[in-house]
Amino acid sequence: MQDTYRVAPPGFSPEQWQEFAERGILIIEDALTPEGVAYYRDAVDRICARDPGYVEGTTDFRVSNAVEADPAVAELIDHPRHVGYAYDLYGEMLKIVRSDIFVRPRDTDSNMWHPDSPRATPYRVFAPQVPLRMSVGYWLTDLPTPRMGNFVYLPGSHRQQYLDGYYSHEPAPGEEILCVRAGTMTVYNGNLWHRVEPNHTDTVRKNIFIAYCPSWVCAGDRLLSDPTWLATLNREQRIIMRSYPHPHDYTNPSAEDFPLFLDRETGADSDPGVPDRIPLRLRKRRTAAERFTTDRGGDP
Amino acid sequence: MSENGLRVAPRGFTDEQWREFQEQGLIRIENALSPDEIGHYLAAVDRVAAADPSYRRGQSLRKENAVELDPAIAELIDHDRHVGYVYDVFGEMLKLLRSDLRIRVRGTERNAWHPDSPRALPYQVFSPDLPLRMSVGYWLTDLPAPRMGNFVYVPGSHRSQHLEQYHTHDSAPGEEILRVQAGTLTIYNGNLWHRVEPNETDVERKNFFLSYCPSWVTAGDHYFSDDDWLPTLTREQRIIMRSYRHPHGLTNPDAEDFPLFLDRETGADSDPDPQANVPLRIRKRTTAAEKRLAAAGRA
Repeated sequence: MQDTYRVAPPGFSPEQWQEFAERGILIIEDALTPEGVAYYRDAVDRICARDPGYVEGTTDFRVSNAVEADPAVAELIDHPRHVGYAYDLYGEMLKIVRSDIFVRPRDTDSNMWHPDSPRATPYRVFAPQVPLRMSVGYWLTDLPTPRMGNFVYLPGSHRQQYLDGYYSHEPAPGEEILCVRAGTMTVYNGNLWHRVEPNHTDTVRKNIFIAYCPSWVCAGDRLLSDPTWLATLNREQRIIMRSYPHPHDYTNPSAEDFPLFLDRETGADSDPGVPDRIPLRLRKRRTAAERFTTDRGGDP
Repeated sequence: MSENGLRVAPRGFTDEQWREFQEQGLIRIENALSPDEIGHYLAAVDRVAAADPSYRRGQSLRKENAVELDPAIAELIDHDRHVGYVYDVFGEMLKLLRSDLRIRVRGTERNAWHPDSPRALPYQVFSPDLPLRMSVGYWLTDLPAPRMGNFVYVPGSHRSQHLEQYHTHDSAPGEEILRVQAGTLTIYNGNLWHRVEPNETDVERKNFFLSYCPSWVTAGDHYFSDDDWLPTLTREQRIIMRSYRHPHGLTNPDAEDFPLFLDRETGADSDPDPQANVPLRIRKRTTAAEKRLAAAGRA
């Protein structure tokens, strides 16, 4: 079976890690070809069309656990275009925390300033350097200007627990309004403070967010996955969904779920120097994020 | 108890206890239980064992989600004796991660060296200064000597992701074999490396472990609590079980679950100078552990 395992797809370059650590977000333009954009837009449109109440151009639409809603979305679970970034953070215990499709027409219900983190006791109270949640965004609509339902964020704010504008729509000093071409991919730290611009145009913003975490952080949009659907996935996709009937498995997954990926540089399923007596499922695997933070002297 | 029925957070770590917890990874509180209380909990252990059709007297026993098995164990979920310690670390989003009842007899199956943490990607990779899991141990049996099924640990090892003796029963340099009187309470960092001594005596080690975490860390022995059992609990016990039908509740609990406790010093339900427009359920509350880290310059 060893030769069937996949090597971890590419993740952060050192420059990208530095930008992610400093700004809390990476913006990767032209990650999708025009055909790729159309492919995923078609998936979004298929999902919308299944809702009898959906009216294109007027319905604010959000689908949680979107990976189960269409095979084209499911293939994003472990897509080599982005899964290496999440693997760099969460390594062998990678999990999807939630997946969402957003359709935001004119006068969309726009979110106020918030981080994607618990509020009373945020992730960052415990994890000051490496985020416990990160989100990959696929932008399927040209959003060249503000007031188009854009994602708005405050660069560097993933390092702060408070924001003056929290729970308001008020612009914050230094905020950046994400103006992107369709086909752009974003990767952001879940602690980043962000809000949503109103949409004052007839352009309907369509996008997909796939958010990841360690398997031992609670998922946000499902308890277990549909077993029939799980059977349609490849090995890595099934593992990353972490659909475990007994909750103990979130902290101690079974042996068949290791390795998730082979090391990108060595091709090995384990770090060097681990005694043979320790089963693979119980072996610590060093993540790329650990290497990056150590190389940076541990400074976030 | 306040006028509106809310409880002030019970006492937690003293400065000295916190220093010891951070340095050693474990604190012990002797004589935490009176002889009557020891008897009260031993009777609960015996009731649970007797109710298990597979249990035979003189056998070892482990029961998960033990709080659901007997009211005397359920009362420990938020007992004033210890809940303040875990509230100091996990604050308003405190959750019971798992609860275990143990009977370890002669020849008990025992655990090799391990931390109570995921192995491939330990909690400590993300949280270097604070545990994401803490366990409270209630020791109901005198364990005055080694070779009695004792808990064995390496003081300070909660700061290390590796132990040379991992997955073995070998003795580790500097290890301490917990020798306790019945009635002792221990609180340990889930990252602490520990193992279990063999039991070569006729004394049956009986104890409970109640483990806590933030509500957004996955529980270990239950998804939901029994619907008939939950209404038998107090408000705080029910909240700490975090039996939310939609998983989103684990990161964003309902408004009715705030505050879990009122501030120990001010009696308030939120920090000073809160953002008044922000609903209580989504207001940050500073934990005692955060204050201690900030005071130590590690915020």
